[in-house]
Amino acid sequence: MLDAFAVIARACVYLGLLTAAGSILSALTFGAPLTGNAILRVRLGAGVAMMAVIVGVLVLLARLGGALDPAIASAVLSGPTGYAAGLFIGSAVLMTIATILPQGLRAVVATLGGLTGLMGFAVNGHAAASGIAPAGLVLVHACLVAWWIGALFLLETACREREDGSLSDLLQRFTRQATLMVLSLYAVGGVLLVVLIEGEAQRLVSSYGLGLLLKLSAVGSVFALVLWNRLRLTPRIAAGDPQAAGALLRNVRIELALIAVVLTATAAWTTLTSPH
Amino acid sequence: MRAHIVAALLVIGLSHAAPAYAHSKTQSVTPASGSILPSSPEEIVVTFNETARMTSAVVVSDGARDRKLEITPSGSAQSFTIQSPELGEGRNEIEWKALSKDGHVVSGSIIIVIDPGAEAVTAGEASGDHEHNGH
Repeated sequence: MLDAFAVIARACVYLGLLTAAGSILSALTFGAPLTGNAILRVRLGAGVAMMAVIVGVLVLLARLGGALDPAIASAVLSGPTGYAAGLFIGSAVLMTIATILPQGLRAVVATLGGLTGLMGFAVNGHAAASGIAPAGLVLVHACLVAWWIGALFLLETACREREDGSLSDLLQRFTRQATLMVLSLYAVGGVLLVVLIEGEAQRLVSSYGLGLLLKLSAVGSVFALVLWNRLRLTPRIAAGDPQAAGALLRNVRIELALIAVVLTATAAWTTLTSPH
Repeated sequence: MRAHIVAALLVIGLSHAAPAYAHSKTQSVTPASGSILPSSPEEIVVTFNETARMTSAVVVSDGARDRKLEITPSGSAQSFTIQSPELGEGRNEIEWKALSKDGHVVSGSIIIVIDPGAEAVTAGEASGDHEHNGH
């Protein structure tokens, strides 16, 4: 039961923090003001992340022998787990405060808060234990994933508002920026994988490998969606079909849902399995 | 729809970056799990293969209440000492938990039998650690 709570808490940290930080980072790269729905996503994501961090720490303490034992709490919180929790909570507070600040200051404080939270992914875990370089790669990786989530939410909003000109413009910018992001994500992800399994491919033949398989299944679902878009949706958009935005909206939502599945699977995988 | 293709590639990139966690493991336990001793050892030393944070050790004995044992040091270290475990006669199982360097929970148990009439028999290699799930 505690294991299940640990997975849920971790998944909520991933989803909440990456959504909040991603909304900020994508607004920054698209030159869009942090307003309206983006503000709501930042507040909601930060709130979910903060609560999940607290629950996650309590669950961890319980699994270590006692959630209310000061000695255990001290031993845990004075290490990387505590540092990560501190960064996550500090980030959530900063991002939430940013949403009530004037526009110029808001962007600065929100970006600082978002990056602070993303650093939390880099200070704890095997990558952090492996050295500064892998930890840095995790930070970059988290930034890229967060941006991607935030950008999809921007697309989702644009589709809902059905402003064809702005949607088309946003789509073009998304594709342009995402090309750079995907190449970076590939490079960072590949290097991280090699570093973390220490170059020993046989470590993938395990429950760890099964977790990877499950994740790749979710990825396969996204591919199926992409094929559908290529074959059905793209021609309609090119032909100026007024209902194309609606179809795009549906697909963006499905992609976001699949990302949520991937992140949840990652939470379970990294919590419950080991290649050793 | 290039945007969707790029998005799908991003998913692939995300999956490629999934970390593989190597939990801490016990390198040695002194006296080793499985030992039969005429009296309680003065201390039990648990050494990991890397730094960890040992957070709890509880002795479970036949017919006695579970008893929490003191561990030193309280912070991060590679070797931890359970001072004066005061193990009772019969079978004693010491269940320990620790936070490994990568942030995962690891746990294990050490079984020591106290038999006043027996010659000391130290088990060869039986630390009895097993990994618990992550954090």
